[in-house]
Amino acid sequence: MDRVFQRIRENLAVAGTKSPPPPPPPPSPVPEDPVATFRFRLEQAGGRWLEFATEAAARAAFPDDDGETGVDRADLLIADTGTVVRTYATREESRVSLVPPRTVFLATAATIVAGLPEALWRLAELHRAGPAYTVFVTGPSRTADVEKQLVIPAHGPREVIVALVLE
Amino acid sequence: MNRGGGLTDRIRRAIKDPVLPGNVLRATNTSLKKRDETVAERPDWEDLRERAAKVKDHVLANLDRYLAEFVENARLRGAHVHFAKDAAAARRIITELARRKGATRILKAKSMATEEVELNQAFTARGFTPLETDLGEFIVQLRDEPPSHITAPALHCSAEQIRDLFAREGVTDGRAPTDRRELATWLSLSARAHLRDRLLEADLGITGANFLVAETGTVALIENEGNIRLTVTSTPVTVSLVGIDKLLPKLTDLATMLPLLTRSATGQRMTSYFQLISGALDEHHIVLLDNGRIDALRDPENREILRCIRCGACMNVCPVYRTVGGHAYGWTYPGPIGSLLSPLWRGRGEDHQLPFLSSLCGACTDICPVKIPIHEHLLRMRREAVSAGRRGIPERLAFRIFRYVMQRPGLYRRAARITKRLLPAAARAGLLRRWTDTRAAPQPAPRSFKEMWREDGPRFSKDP
Amino acid sequence: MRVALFVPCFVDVLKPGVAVAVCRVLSRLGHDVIYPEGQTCCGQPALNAGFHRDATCLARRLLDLLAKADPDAVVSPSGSCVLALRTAMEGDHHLLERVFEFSQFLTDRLGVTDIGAKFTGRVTWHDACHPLRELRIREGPRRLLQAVQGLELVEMEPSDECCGFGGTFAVKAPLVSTGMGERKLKAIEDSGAAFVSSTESSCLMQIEGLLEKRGSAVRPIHLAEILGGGAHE
Repeated sequence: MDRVFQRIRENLAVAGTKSPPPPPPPPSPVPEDPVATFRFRLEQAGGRWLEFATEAAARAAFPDDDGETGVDRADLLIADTGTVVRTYATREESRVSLVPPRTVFLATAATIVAGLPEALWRLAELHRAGPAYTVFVTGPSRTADVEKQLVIPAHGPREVIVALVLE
Repeated sequence: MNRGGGLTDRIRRAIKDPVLPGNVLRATNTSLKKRDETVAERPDWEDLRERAAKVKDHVLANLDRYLAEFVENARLRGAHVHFAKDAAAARRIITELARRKGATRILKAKSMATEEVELNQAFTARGFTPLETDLGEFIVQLRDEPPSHITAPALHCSAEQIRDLFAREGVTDGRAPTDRRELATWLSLSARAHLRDRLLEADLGITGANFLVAETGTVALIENEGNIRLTVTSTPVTVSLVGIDKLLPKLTDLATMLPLLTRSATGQRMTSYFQLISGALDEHHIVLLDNGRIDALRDPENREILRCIRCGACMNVCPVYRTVGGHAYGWTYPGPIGSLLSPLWRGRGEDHQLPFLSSLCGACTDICPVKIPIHEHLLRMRREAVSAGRRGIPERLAFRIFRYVMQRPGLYRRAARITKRLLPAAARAGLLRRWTDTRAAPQPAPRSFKEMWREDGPRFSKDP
Repeated sequence: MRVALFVPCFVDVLKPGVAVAVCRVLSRLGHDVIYPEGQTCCGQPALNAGFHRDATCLARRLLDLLAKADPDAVVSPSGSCVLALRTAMEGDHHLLERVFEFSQFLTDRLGVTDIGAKFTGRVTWHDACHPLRELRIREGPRRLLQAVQGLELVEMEPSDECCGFGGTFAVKAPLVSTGMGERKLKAIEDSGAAFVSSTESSCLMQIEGLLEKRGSAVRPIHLAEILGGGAHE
């Protein structure tokens, strides 16, 4: 591997330009109503939005023992894109939002961030600390490989529900 | 359609194909329309492009440092990092790993790097072929051909062609819907059902990567189908083959690159899935690929080409690509950016002709999300081909004569007169067939402007 | 203003009427038009083929020759030739900043959009690549056309895809060039226009060749010919 770095250094030295590091990305504009924005973007991406008074009510609505529904929770919601962010402990654990035909993410309004930069700032801390596996989910799985025509689902769920728990 | 034969043969075959040009045009038009719609939503698009170019320039100018940082962080988090100097090394590392693991059921996520090193062929030679899990890749794998586009591998196929292919290969049972509008859905869902069991459990998963992050040792993967998530999670061992040009310094740099990539590639604000894998898999092997990239760093002009994030927008917008599709170009990376990468990374004789396969219209430069002035590089590579003596003697001679004549107005006038007189005859004699086969020959005017000016120039100033 | 005409070689031989029209428009606007003798080629074919030194040599020759006439501005009915001069010289010639493509000279340098022209017919506009993407010419010619009395401007879709000419590309890769051109033709014909216009004579040559071969009724016409009252007035 040292040889590799050596070769790169030699090649860079031929035209030794040192380009300065760019500043970090600017923060996203904060939406007036983050929840409404998230919901709009989620639905635009083909996801569904539901509200429940309590977590118990949400869980009761979606029994996860039929193999049809994977009940998961959202770590963060990105308003700008309608995205659910979820960090998993293991690859097996992550399959809850991948293999069953329907995924339900339980979420609270407190987890909403404005945009991708804000989500990445939070994740950076986690990923800098050690091993981490994070998945961003935006709507159901899809493909457009036949004539660019949108088909839902592809190999993942056909339905993604974000269940906001109000309490 | 495949990549056999010389460049001219492949172009002719593509253009004469009864369905290919129509398929390519329809698909690229759809992609462009969606791209334009979502780009229009970002008033900061130009800022993003500018920023992305700066991020890439910075990382490339300090690649040794960031690569070392990536390797250290990935290893600290438990990943195994390998280095492949060229395609053969990459094939060796990955097939050897598969052998050691006794892997026979191998899943492959869409990856242009694995296409570049012809990984599947290496596995096939050992008696088992990885299963392509992306629908487009699966289609071209069944057709026994490489992808024709870097983000839409089967863009050159019509739904009817895929319907017949799937019936022939037993993916479907042949009862296709008669309504064309239902065909894409039926085919896609059939493929899902057909592949389902094989995708849920396997021995080894092979992926590429869209980005590597130095500060966290992260492999970042973008997709829509969920097949990459399955490839990563259905197998105990994952291998990611990644070009070293895909490095980013910080995780937050993804906030700049991602909106550019997803909008440019598929016209999406965000794809269905985006994974950040920082050494957290059971066993993750990351194979860093050189294959010409380090040599390309030497020249700052070429370094600019390495900004490419493989969105494929330059293909969609390129009038040449839209006419001939991707296979005609002859290597993994087609279109305008491919006409730069092929001579740069592979550099076989024919690759050096690719920069000439362009009208230099500049649409690629305008659309490129990382601001690579693609058509200017095409022109530069033409210059380099000339200075390296790679152009034929007839062309060199022709331009010597051209310059000689054009430096001498008297000679030019005579040449113009001769042209005027001989052009119709030459056209009739079939000497201008490269023009006249498809276009009427231009008709020289009775008098040149020079003659008109001399004879009645002052009258031009008066209104007719 | 003392304006020197820069007439590209193929315009000189094949489409002299375009240069005459440029001359008429500029004179009508009260400018003193001169045509420095001894012009040949700007070197663009060599430039695009990678023969950079040959191109630079011809570009310098032409610019020096034009500079000798000491014009206030140089105007050409071909944006790509103007661009070729800039590229070949890498911006390094004192005259370059005074060299203009015809429509840009009218709209940007003179600030003129209505020159009192008349033209009867439906016209569609082809955005030639180099003027569009390198010289950023898009709205100017449209404003000029909209000001023409009797002219109806209809947009083709798309108006900004390459016609496939590309200089020697047209004969080096005739099949590809023609494939590109046929899409342009379809866009032109779908627009329902009787004329297709552009700032670029070279594109119009390709378009004309294709239109004629398939016996189309659509006629190509350079912007200058519309503004200067060419054959169709």
